[in-house]
Parts: sequence; structure tokens; C-alpha cells
Amino acid sequence: MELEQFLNNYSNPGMSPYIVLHDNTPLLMETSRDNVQVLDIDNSKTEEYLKGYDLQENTFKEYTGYLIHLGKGAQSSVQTCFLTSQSGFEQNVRNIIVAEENSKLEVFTGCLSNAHVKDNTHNAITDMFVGKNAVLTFNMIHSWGETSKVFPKTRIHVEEGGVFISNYVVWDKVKEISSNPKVFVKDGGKAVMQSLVYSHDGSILDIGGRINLEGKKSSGEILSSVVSQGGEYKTVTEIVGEGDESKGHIECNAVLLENAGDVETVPLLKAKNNTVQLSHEASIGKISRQEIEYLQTKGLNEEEARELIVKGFVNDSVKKMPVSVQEKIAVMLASGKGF
Amino acid sequence: MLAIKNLTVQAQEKTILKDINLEVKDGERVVLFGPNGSGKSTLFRVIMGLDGYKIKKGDIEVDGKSVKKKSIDERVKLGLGYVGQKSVGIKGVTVEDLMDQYDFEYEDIKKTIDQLNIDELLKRDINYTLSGGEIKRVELFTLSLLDNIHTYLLDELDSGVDLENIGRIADYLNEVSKEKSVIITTHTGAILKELKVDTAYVILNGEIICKGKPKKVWECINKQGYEKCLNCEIAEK
Repeated sequence: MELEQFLNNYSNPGMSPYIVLHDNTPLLMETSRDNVQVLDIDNSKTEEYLKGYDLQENTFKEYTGYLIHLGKGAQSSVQTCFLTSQSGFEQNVRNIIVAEENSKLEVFTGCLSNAHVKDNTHNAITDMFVGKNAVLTFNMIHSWGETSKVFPKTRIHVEEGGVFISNYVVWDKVKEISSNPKVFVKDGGKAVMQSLVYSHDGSILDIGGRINLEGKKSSGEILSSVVSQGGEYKTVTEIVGEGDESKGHIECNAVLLENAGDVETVPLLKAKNNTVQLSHEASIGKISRQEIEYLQTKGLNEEEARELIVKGFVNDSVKKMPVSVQEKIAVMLASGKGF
Repeated sequence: MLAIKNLTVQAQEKTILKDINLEVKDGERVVLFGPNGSGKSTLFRVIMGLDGYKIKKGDIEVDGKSVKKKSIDERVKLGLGYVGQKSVGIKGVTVEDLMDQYDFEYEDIKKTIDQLNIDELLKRDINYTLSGGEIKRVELFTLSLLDNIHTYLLDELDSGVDLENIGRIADYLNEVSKEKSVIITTHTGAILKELKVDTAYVILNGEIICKGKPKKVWECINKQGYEKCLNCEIAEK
């Protein structure tokens, strides 16, 4: 996909700050205003904002990345975009997001490689910190190339009463993704991880995650939706209930378009005390014959019926995602997949 | 005109409809009586070409042409409109999403939306978490979006529907079906108090065993039960 098409269809051009991380070059568009800072990860000022935070080790030698920091009570929306423009390139990204107490942050992230780029790899080490009663919504839409490989390592810490919501969409074909973010939630905090993935023929997708409900009355949900046309899709999702009266739910729904793809869902629930409530449900299957016939009785031919049912599956999967994400998905659906 | 000729049907190697002959003339309204499992719904499903049935003998004709080899949607395009007994819910597909599949002017359908009182149901998923009455009203509405339908096949339209909704549905049907043919099935007979029909058939164990005036046939069934229909003298055989 070309940059202009991506920016218009998959990102929010009106969002400010709007930052682009190109290959492994430093972030040039730094922002510091209204209690909101967006800094290059190697900017010396980042130290004052990161004192006392438990960070993952940065193992990259060459890398790019940002710190997004919201001070107490601040509100902001940030669009970020990761771009790879060289074939065979290994982009390494070190990102940190801090939303301090009572702040509210929405991050919209797009990732893409230029149309001519082949065999690129995107590695990322990301830490996110959601302060007391803060809300962080992290939306990500991937549009890497058909030969791209993507390996993020993500940790999220949610303090008392904080809310972390992740909406992750992979629609265009990618060679390989392995993404298993880990979330740690304190008292009364909440984490929701939703994903919508289109598994293409030849793709290897391992998209799971873990939520540790450490705090009292903390809660977590992992909701995975998959449209499989082929390839291998695996989701190992885990919720560990440790805190008193914590609640967790895992759900995975997959619709199989062809008799070619592998879909594997492994929900793990671990309760560490008897006040915890955990549940999971999963469904994997082809499009129901009954539903196709029903729509045929409304005059739609079989192909039209299948297309409408898959659109319905997608719409249902994203109904809890923000309107900004739903709009992007509507563009993807309108571009026609030929279900 | 819809004509069923000597139709014998099997499902899973078992004969479930036997030598069915039934003709619905243009503008005629027909009711099909029969106990649960007698073959009423099966007959409709076979007419529409739904999966799971094998026609061993006979034919189904619309305006003199066989539709046996036509797909479901082709049969709809030839004028057959169907509302099944069991609703099929489709998660994530709203009534409006289905409406988007057709070309029409909103002003042209506004009256039907009001008549069937479904304005608040348009943004809901099709037949998902709707009540029995709401489902039937939505079904009749979506049928109205197909402007070529000349024969309505309505299976147990009054089943699971409260009296107020039966009245609303019957009023709507009385109006829209003036120039259309209608075949309905019912085992409660509730809708017949509101909807006038011309001819009644009784189907038992996959065979049509009686044809007559609806009121007389219904009285007969109520008085004697379906089993006695085999030797009934009230209705025309």
C-alpha cells in the first residue's frame, strides 16, 4: 500500500500530534504542550518522565521510537505511524507511553511498508503505563506487506482504577506476526484487548495475550475475532485471577471461508483464589448454510449472501471498538475482499 | 400461478411428501392445515428449494415453468416470497444492512415501516433477540422490498405472536395481498379470524387428504381432530 492511500484511509490526518517513525531514523516531530509530551526515545528529557517506572530492557542496537507522556489530568489523541521503505530492512522500535493519574489518552497507530518493500521485519519493545483512574485506548491497524514479519513485545501496567483498552486490527496480508502482550492490572483496574484478524493464505499469525488480574476487583477481557481464508492462525490467551473478586472473560470467534486454513484457539484461565470469576467461550466454523439460504430467500445470490454474513461477523466483532476504528474497517470492507 | 404436481419428496431416504397436488391461482388465498410434523413446513421449504430434500417425482411450476432446478434466489426472482416458521438470526447484519442490498426510495417504503411498526427495529440485528411478533413483522417488511413477489408462502405466521400483532399482520396482509396469491400454514387458526382465505387443504403424514372451504374444514378439525379428517364428510375431498 502506498503512503498517501494509507494515511487517508487507515489513519486520522486531522489528529494532532501526528508522528511518523521512518525506518530507524530518530523522531523529528517532537511536541511539548499542554501537559502532553511526544519525544524521541533517545531525547535526554525522557529520563525525568520515566523515573521509577519498571521498563523492559532495550536490546536493540539501532532503533527508533517515541515517548508519549501525558501529565496528571491531561487529555490527548495521538496518531502514530510506522513506516518501512527499504526491502530487507529490520525496523526496531522502542516505544513508551505514560498516561499519568486521571489522564485520558487515545493512541491511533498505523504500521505499513511501502508497496515495493519486500522481506522487511518490524521488531518492537513497548511499555505502557496507565496511572490511577487514567484511561488509555490503544488502537492499531496493520498494513504491512505480504512478505513482512512483525514481532512486538509489549507490557502494560494498569494502576488502581485505570482502564486500558487495546483494539488491534490486521486485515491486509502479512507473512508473520507473533504478538502476545502482557497486561498487569491493579485494584479496580480494567483491561480489554480486542482483535480482528483476517488470516490470509500463507500467513502465520500468533496473536494472543495475557492479563494478570493482580488487584482486588480488577477485571479483564480478551476478545479475538478471526476471518480465515487460509494460513495458520493461533491465539493463546490467558487470564490469571489473583486479586480478590477479580473477573475475567476470554472469547474467540472464527469464521472459516475456505477449507484451507488452520485456526487454533487456546484459552487459559488460572484462578489463584476462590473469589475469582473467570469464563471463556469459543466458536470456530464455516458460514452457516442456514444463514446463506435465509438471505437467498431475500433474493440475494449465494455470493452476495456470504459477503453480507462475513461483513456482519466483522461488524459484530468491532461494535465495541471506537467509531474511529470502525470507520477504517468500513473502508477496508468497502474495498472488497470477495469473501 | 403456483402449481405443485404429483410431488413426492424424500429426506434421508425417507418419503416425507407423497403425491402432493396443489394449485394456487393468481390472487387466490390458500390455508394449509395440519398437525406438527405433517409436512406443511417441508412443502414450503421444498417449493423454495432449501437444502436437504430430494424430489423423487413430480414438479413445481411457477406460471407454467418448472422451478425444480432453480436456486433459491432464482425462485424468489420468479415471484415466490417466503417467510419460514423458524427465524434465522444473523449476528452483526442489521435490517438496514439488508435494505442496502436493494434499490428503493425511502418514501416508497415509509408507509410499510409505519404499518408494520418496525422503525425501531431497523438498526437491530436481523431476527436476533427479537420477539416472535417483531420477527414476523420484520420478515414481512423485508419481503415487501422485493417488488416482483406475486405469491406469498407464509409458514406459521401466527405462531408465537400475540393477538395485537396478529391483527397488525393480518391488516397488512389484507391490504398488500389484494392482487397477490397467498399460502399460509397455521395450526392454531388464530390468523384466520383476521385474514380471509378462499381454500383450505389438510395435510397429514405428508399427504394432502382434504380440500374445502376454510371455515368448514377448520370446524371439522376442531370437532374431530386431524385423524378423523381421513373419513370426513363435511369437507370436499
